Order: sequence, then structure tokens, then C-alpha cells
Amino acid sequence: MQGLIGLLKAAGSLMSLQPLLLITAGIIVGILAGAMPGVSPSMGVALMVPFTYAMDPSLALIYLAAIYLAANYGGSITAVTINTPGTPSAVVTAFDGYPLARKGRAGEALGVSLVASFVGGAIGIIVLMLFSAPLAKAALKFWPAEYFSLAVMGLSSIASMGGQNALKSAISAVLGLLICTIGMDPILGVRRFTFGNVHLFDGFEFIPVLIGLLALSEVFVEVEKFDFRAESVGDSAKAKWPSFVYYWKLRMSMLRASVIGTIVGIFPGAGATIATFISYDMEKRFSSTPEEFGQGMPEGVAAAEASNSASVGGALVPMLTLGIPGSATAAVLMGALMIHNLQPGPELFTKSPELIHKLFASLLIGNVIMLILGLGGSRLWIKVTKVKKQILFPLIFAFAMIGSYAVNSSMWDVGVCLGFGVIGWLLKRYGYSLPPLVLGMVLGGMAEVNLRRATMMFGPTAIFQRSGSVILLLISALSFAIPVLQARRAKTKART
Amino acid sequence: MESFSSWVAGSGQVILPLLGACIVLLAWALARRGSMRKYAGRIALDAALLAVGLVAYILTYGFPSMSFAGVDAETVPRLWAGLLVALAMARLIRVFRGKDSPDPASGRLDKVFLLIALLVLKIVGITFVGYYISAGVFVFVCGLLLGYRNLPGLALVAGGWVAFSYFVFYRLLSVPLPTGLLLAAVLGR
Repeated sequence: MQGLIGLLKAAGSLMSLQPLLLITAGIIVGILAGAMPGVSPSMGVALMVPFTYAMDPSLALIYLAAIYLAANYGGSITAVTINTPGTPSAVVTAFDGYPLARKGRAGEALGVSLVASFVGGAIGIIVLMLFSAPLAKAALKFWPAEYFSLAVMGLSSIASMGGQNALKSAISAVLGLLICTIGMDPILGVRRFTFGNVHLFDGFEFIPVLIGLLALSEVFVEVEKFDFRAESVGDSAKAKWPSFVYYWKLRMSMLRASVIGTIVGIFPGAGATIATFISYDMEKRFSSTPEEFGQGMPEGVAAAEASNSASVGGALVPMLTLGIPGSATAAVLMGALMIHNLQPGPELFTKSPELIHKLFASLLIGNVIMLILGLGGSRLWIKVTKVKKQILFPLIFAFAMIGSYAVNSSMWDVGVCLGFGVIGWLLKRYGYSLPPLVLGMVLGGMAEVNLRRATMMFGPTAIFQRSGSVILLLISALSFAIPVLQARRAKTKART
Repeated sequence: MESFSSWVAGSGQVILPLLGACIVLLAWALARRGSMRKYAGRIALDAALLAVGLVAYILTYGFPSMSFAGVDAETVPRLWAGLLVALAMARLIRVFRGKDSPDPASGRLDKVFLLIALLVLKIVGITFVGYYISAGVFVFVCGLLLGYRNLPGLALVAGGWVAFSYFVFYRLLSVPLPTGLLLAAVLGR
């Protein structure tokens, strides 16, 4: 009851010009970022973080969360219209969305993707509101051993993040963990790997590293391909939008996918892409005409988009309650919160409940704004795809540089951003996945501090002395082993 | 052991990373000459990761020896560095056994390197001519480098970016964008 009152109060406080404008701006930026191929949701959020430095922390969080929410939907626009998913998670939307557009039913596909995004987003947010508080309460009873095991559980998700190459993902994650040890030791104050450089005493600033890894590396990859041909959207986008009855017929597809998306999103590292594939596969199994999937089935679009958007709420559950980001974008969001001196985790619920309520309320409001803007501006969003990459890329570089500089007004951070951009490009070039590296950097501090605290309290076997910790470690082992074994089995099957 | 630690904490800080870089270069050069030519890039990258792990592991011996309740500052970095060494070795073994795919085909590497050089120039340029001039020139030259040939359009985008960064970052967000040594001298600041 108290939570509901808090939520209503927060919603009331957001009903003024500044927050509403910020949510709307976030939704627009998110849709545009998602619609631009080459700009991922995490990149969109990372590039916008510098704009929030001077903002009130709650407004900053609301703005960035709105971008995250909308970017996942934005990715579907280009997936449907030009078969170029703006985000990796929109790949599945293109399976049936683009064939529908080619049949002259682009309005139908865009309508379904928008409404499914709205439904999925709403369900994900409701789950976030219902389960985050009790989860946070349970987390407050955790000891350092449990926190260390929790960090290990977060890291175990690299197995599913790296797809078929778990070894490369593991290397990425360990590299992230090692980078995290640069700077002053958190317990004894010993300088580690600083080479006498004062800039390294506090380690690397998180945002320049993220911008370099996610934004610059992606642009370097695109520049190496050097294929800047613009894709054009035909008149099919002008096609008629469906009626309410049409959407009502798809309600079960949307509901099923939303539940799957939320659940998958909760697991750290699983992310929206995996959620969309599972939901699409599930929908195909439920369908009486599975052979028509891939040729323009609205159910396919509904399933992909509902699970995609539902995973946003899901991914925020572990980030807010346990301090473990559920996706790469959630990791960026977490970094942004830290910049504003807010430490995601159970204490956030006790120390700043009003902030949490504001976030929940803003997500609900943002979802409605996204629906309105999506209905009104679909033709406008499509124009984003016409921005030439030769113009877009210099601006991304310029954004990245100024964004990195703005963190501490330091040219060192600009150099760090460029350095990590090059490292990210090289790693990507040879098939190393970058989200595990980011995850390693995010969870490294938590893992080290709690392992050492636990060892100080109960000795070297501390993490095996508490049942909660052992259970979490077992879950971690399973969540690492299952995707690896599944990938191996799939490989063997493919060979035979 | 103590003399080794003090060496690592002293000249080892320079020699060890240099040694790591030499290992990477050597691995790359050897791979390019031999039968592993197709994997030279992968070998160089995995050797670099191995070198990072090895150098980091050895550097932990140079940390000041401090311990509290049986916990010291080097245990965790040593754990991660050791893991990195083991995993990078496993990768190298896979590559040498031919279980990995060859290096990806090279695209326009010249453009990427030129772009990186341009970014470095921009960073250096900011110190001397300030943010606004170097950012404007960067956007313009970068567009040209990427093959955009509409010069008035490009100039407009560059000018627009400078105006945007001035109003949003300098005026609105109060980010003190550098004016540069040259401009500061001219303006007498």
C-alpha cells in the first residue's frame, strides 16, 4: 500500500513541464538512436550521459531510462521498413516485419510492432514494480559472501552473451575484471598498475571507457567495411494502420512474449536478443501455421517486439535490486547512476525510495508517450535512416569526445575513450564480444571487495560457509554450463 | 625475492610492458612468415592478451606488501591475471591446432588508421588551438575522409556542431571547453 501511495505521489510530481519534456525528449532520442543502424541502445544511452551531468539525479535517471525504453522499439522501425535492424534485438522483428512491408502491409507491421512494444513494455514495468521491492528486502540480508557469489552469478551470464564462443567471452570478462583492479586498492589503499600516473590512481573513468568500447569501436568497424550506401524506404510505409480489433486478435501472442521477455530480461546478461528468439520460437510452436513464419506473420512481429520491450523492465530488476545489470544498456545506466553518486542495489530502495518510485512512474508514463509518438511520428522516424553515415559518424566521434571530456573536464579521459575505442575495435574484429568486458568492469569492484571482506570475516573458505552463497555459486555454475553445453550440442548436430 | 620486488616496482614498470610489446610483435612477425600466415592477426591479438596477463601477474610482485586479516592487495589482480594467462593460452592452442577460423578479410584499414590519426590530431589540437576550432575542423575533415563530397553541406554540419557544443555544453551544462594555448595567448588569458 505504501509503495502504491509512493508511486502515485511520484507520478503526480512528474506531471509538470520539465519531467514530461525530459521523458518525451528521452523517448524521441531513444527512438532515433534505436532506428539508426549502428547506434545500439547502450550506445545511445552512453552518448546522452554527458547531458545529464548538470541534472538532478532523479531527472537524469528518468531521461536515460526513457531512452533505454524507446531505443528497443526504435530498432524495429528500420527492421520492418528496410530490413536493417537498428538494434540486435530487432533482428527477429525483421523476420516477419520486412516480408509484411514488402507485401505492402508496412503500416500493419509498424502498428503491430508499436502496440506490442507498448504491451510488452507495460508488463515488464509492472513486474519490475511488483518484484523489485521484495527482492531488494531479501538482498539486504545478504553478507559479503553472498554478494561475491552474486557477482559471480552475474559473470556467469557471459556464457549466453558470447553466443557459441564461451572462451572468448570469458577472456573478455576477465580482461574487464583485470582493468577494474587498476588504481587504488579499495580496502588497503595500495596503488596497483598505476605506473606513477596520477590519472590512474582512481582507475579508469567508466563513461569514457564505455563510450570508447561501445560507440567508437562500432564506428571503426563500420568505417572498415566502408559501405555507406543509403537504404531507401519505399511508399509502403504509407500503408494503412490496423484497427483495435486486429490488435486484440494478437493479444495472446503479445502476452506470452511479454512474460518470456520479462523473465529472460531478469537474468543478467541474457538480454533482449535472446528473449526475442525464444519468444519467436515459442510463438511458432503455438501457431497452427508455423510454416508461414518468416513470410510475413503478424504474430511473429508481435512476439518479437513484445518480448524485446518487456526485457527492459526485466533487465532493470537485478540492476536496481542487486546492483547487477541485466543487459549492456543496463550496465551503462548503472554507470550513469554511479556518476550521480547513486549506488544501485538494495540500499537504493531504503535510502532513496522516492527516486525508485519516480523511475517506475516515469517508465509507465514514458511507455504511453512512446505509444502516442509512435502513432503520430512513424513517418518521421523513418527519415532518420536517410541520415548519411558520412555525416553521422563524424558527429558520433564529436559526441564521444566531448562526452568523455565533460566527465571531469579532462583531456586524459578523451584519450582513454579513444584508446578503448581502438581496443574494442580490435577485439570485435577477431570475434570477441564486448558486453562481457563491460560486465567484468561493472562487477569487478563488487566481486573483489566482497571476496576480501568475506575472507577477512570467515577466512579463505568464507564463500562456501554460507548456504546462500553456495546456492548462488551452484546456480552460477549451471547458468554458465548450460548455454556452453547447448552450443556444443548444436555444433555437433550441425556437423552430423 | 625482495630485490625482485623492488626491481618490478622500479625499472620493471617500464621494461616489463616493453617486453610484452616485443613478445606480441615477435609472435605476429613469426606467424606472418610461417604456415600460420592466415592466423597472424588472431595470434597477435591472443599473444597480446597473454602478454597483458603475464605482465600484470609479474607487476603484482611490485605492490607494497601490506596485509590485513590475511587479505592483501595483490591476491585478486593475481587471480584475474592468472586466469587471463590460462585462457589466452587455451585460445592460442586452439589457433595453432587450426580449430579457429582464419583472420577476417581486411576492409579499408587505411581509412580506420587515418581516422585514428585524425582523432589523435584532434586531441593534440585541442590543447593548442582549443576545442571549437579543432572540433569544427575535425567534423569537416572526417566527413571528407569518409567520402562525403558536399563541401557546403559539410561546412554547415561542422559549424552547426560547434554552435551546438558551445550552447549546450558550454552555456547550458557549464562544461569548461578548452580555449587552447594559442588562443589563450592571443586573448591574453
